Amino acid sequence: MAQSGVVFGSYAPRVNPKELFDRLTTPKTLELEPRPTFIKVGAVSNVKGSAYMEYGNTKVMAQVEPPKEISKNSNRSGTLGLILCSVKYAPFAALDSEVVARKESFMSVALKKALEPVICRHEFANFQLEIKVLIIDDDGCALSTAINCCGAALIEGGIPTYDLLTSSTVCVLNGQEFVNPTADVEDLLRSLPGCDNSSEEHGVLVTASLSGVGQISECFQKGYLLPETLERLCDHSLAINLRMVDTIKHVLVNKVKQHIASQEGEESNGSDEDMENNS
Amino acid sequence: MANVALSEAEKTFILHGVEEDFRCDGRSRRDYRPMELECEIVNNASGSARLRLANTDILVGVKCEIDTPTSLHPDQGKIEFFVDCSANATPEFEGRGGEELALELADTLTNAYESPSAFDLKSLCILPGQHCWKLYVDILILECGGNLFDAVSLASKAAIFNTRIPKVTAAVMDAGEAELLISDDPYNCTRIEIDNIPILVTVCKIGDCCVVDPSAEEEQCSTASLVVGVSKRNNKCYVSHTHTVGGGSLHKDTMYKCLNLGVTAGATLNDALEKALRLEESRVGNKRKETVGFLK
Repeated sequence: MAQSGVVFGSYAPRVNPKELFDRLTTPKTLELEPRPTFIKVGAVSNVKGSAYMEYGNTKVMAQVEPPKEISKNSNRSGTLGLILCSVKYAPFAALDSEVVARKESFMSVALKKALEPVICRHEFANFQLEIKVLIIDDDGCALSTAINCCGAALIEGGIPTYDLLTSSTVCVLNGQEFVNPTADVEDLLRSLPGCDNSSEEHGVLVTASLSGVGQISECFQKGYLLPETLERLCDHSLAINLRMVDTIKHVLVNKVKQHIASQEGEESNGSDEDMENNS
Repeated sequence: MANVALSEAEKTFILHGVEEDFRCDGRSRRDYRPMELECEIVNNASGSARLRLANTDILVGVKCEIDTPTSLHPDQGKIEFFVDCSANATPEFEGRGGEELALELADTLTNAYESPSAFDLKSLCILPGQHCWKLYVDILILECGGNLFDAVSLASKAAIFNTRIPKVTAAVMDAGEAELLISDDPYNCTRIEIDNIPILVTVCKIGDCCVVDPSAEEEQCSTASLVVGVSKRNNKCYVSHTHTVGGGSLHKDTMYKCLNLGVTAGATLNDALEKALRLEESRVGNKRKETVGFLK
């Protein structure tokens, strides 16, 4: 950054965010597709429901604990079940500690808001459901991946939900739209708008939706956008959510098929061990 | 938020009223309740404001302290929001009861102010890499009568408008470290530009309609609302933050309707607030005024 006159003190000169932006590979055409995804449901054996998900290079693990009764003397009980969410970054997911604390707190709140409308909470009156997410690697889209992962984990754990929950991130930077922004783009989003006084639009949007019933359970945006742009981004994000449903459905159906196959195997020859090894 | 016990019949009454565009207190769906705003009522703070929106009572104090900028942004100051839900507001806030809500309010404000186009932290920088001002915006919720997000953001904007940062008169270089001399004349100060500072508008979905400025009773009837941060720049309205509140979900079309209602309401509200602030200042002028609020 160019300093006029005397430069006081010394601080490491950072690469000009503008140059960083030019180095980014900007997508030529807008493809409303999710990143290459890997999902494994039932990744942890000793909890009710769990899922592990890789979204490009972002790796997230979610687990759902079995519903617990809320003690009578606390005044939090009601006719609707309580959802508790916590998001933690793995210590080795390199980020400086100050950013991590803030990110964890806001992601926990956002995750809770995304999940509340999806879970049939009236079936858990006086119960609380604890959902824990561990972010192992963050290459952008951490929140939306966490929501996707929780959606799969909830269904794996047999928690009644209204629909499959899917989520995605889109952002706008320097007039260029990025779907599923990587960590580099998300970093630039924080540093680039500050370097010149242009009133150019920038911002990031995360939506979580129940595509089957056409409802948006969570919409989280920050930055500086015209309402029209926000609507456009929202449309794009919802389109990706719709694509994401197929992937998660496929994984869950496969899981059920496997389960049935192993049960049938148990009935016919009494050992399901062999069947699982074969499949 | 604050829990008001409502029966089904009362809820239906409110719902029907909203559908007829005639709410319980006589407002239409796009109307705000009367507001009372007073600046500079806490002597110890650099800037302060108290806002009363019907039954919602908010007191905001801004303090500025000298801090060192972060290495990532050596040319920017800092701003920090802290919300305290007083147990006077509702018994629910006793102990740690209000913590979650307080955190959500503070997070929402931080997110809305985050973009440099919304709030320029560069103006808070004194010496790049060495000294900057850090604004502590302390928000106290004294009474809770619905629509906290809007009230808190309006009061914060008013308090920031009222903030006077003392001028730095000289910097003495001592072994490469700059030492600052702060002017002790209370009138020798700088102000903070508030033109772009966003305000939050909560749009509440009741039945099939959207309303602004929900009262505590109306909040009970709604399952989902949208909070929109509206900032004005070059006569255009920008959205600096949006998020959904409440345990329900919204349809896409409803959400866009809420968003547009929020933006138009935000623009009008923003103009009204700025007009009121300038009017108050021109009337009071520089002299120490008599506080009319409860803090006499």
